[in-house]
Amino acid sequence: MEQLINMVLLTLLALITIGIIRVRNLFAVVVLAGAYSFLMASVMMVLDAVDVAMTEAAVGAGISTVLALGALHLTKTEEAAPRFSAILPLFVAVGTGAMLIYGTWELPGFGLADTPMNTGVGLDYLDRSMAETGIPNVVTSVLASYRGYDTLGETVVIFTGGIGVLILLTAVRRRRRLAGDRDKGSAP
Amino acid sequence: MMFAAAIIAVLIALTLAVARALAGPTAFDRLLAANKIGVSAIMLLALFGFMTGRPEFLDIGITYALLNMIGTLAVLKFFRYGALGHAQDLDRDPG
Amino acid sequence: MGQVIDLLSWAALLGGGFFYVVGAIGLNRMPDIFTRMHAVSVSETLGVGLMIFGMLLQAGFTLVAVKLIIIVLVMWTTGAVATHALARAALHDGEKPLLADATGALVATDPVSLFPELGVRLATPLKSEIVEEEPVESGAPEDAETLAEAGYGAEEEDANPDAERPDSADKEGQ
Repeated sequence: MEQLINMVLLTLLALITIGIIRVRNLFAVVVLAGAYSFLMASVMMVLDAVDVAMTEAAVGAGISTVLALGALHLTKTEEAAPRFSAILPLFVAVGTGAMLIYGTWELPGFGLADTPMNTGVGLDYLDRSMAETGIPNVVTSVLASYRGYDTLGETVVIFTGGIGVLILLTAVRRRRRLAGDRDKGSAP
Repeated sequence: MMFAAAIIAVLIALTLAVARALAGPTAFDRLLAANKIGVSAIMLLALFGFMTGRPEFLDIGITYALLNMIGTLAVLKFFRYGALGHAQDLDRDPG
Repeated sequence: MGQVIDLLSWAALLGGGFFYVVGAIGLNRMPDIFTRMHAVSVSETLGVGLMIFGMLLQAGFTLVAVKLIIIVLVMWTTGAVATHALARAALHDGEKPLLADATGALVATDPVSLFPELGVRLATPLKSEIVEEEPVESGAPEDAETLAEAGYGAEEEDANPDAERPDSADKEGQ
């Protein structure tokens, strides 16, 4: 069952990604990206990383949508036609992807018992997590308790980034409004 | 078992919604489909939690529902006032 | 007793799944955006409600049940609001619903031509949309001051205003 859900979700993710690439209307791209983010959150949830799923949905479907729309307010909504042929970028992307896939061949199989992550410190977390933190989900306990400061730092970074983007966007709008005032002033 | 049946129904609906999101002639169609994808994600979360016997993290579903709404409304508001709307400036000329 | 509840759960979950899929099929088969909205609302109210009811029966009187009820209430209210906003934005943007004419054929009709008051209502902003006018900044010295305050040099005063608004031409073109 889990495998079926994963298969369906990942296929849909791939389809939406192709759609994002093909669609020229930036507005539709924003909407599709929100849908992508919800699907990705579902994949995370099936993988049992609940809080990662929540972050994905909040950042991907919530904040990024709003920020992307704010940026879209300042540009056109239709993507310009590409000026150069896509052959070379395609070649580079396929080459990079092939190298990455080649790299994964050296990784141990998913869920094998005798891999470093399942024999070393990971077992320790699994043993002690419940007694030490009282959080039933181990991913959550590692993320929010053992690495609490790390997560706090990440949150601060993301928050700062969001604030910075907001300041940039409002500054441009403010300047535009002032320019509009001057237009009106100079009109007869 | 019953949750598995419902999950399959949700997955079918999800696939259809993605088809509409990709095909949708207007941006509103895509938005409607995206809204449905969000609802499907919530249902999937709830049903999957029940199927695996751990429905504790349902509150994330509430977050998803609110986020879904925020995303939809943000897009619509942009449509009304943004580059595609008929208003020149957000603060100047509402409507 | 347990079996009765299980049976009810089965029925509710299957029924909910049925309506959910029906809504998704309608989303694909319906001819225009407004009828599609109508189709989706079936799955967002009845489909979701029945499925949550099925889960509620399995959960019993626990915290999980409370969360389920909150989820379904939030979804019912926000779904209605989002659909309403969607329809309003679509009408405002000039989407024309497919309506049957005298011969029964479906044609895209401008609803404002049928209901003139709809045009008035679309043109009037909602209460929440009325933005209060900021105090008017008049006079060049004040203007320059505000510009400097916002972090832009006074020399930008001389720049061509059109150059600062590259998309104004596109907007007017639409």
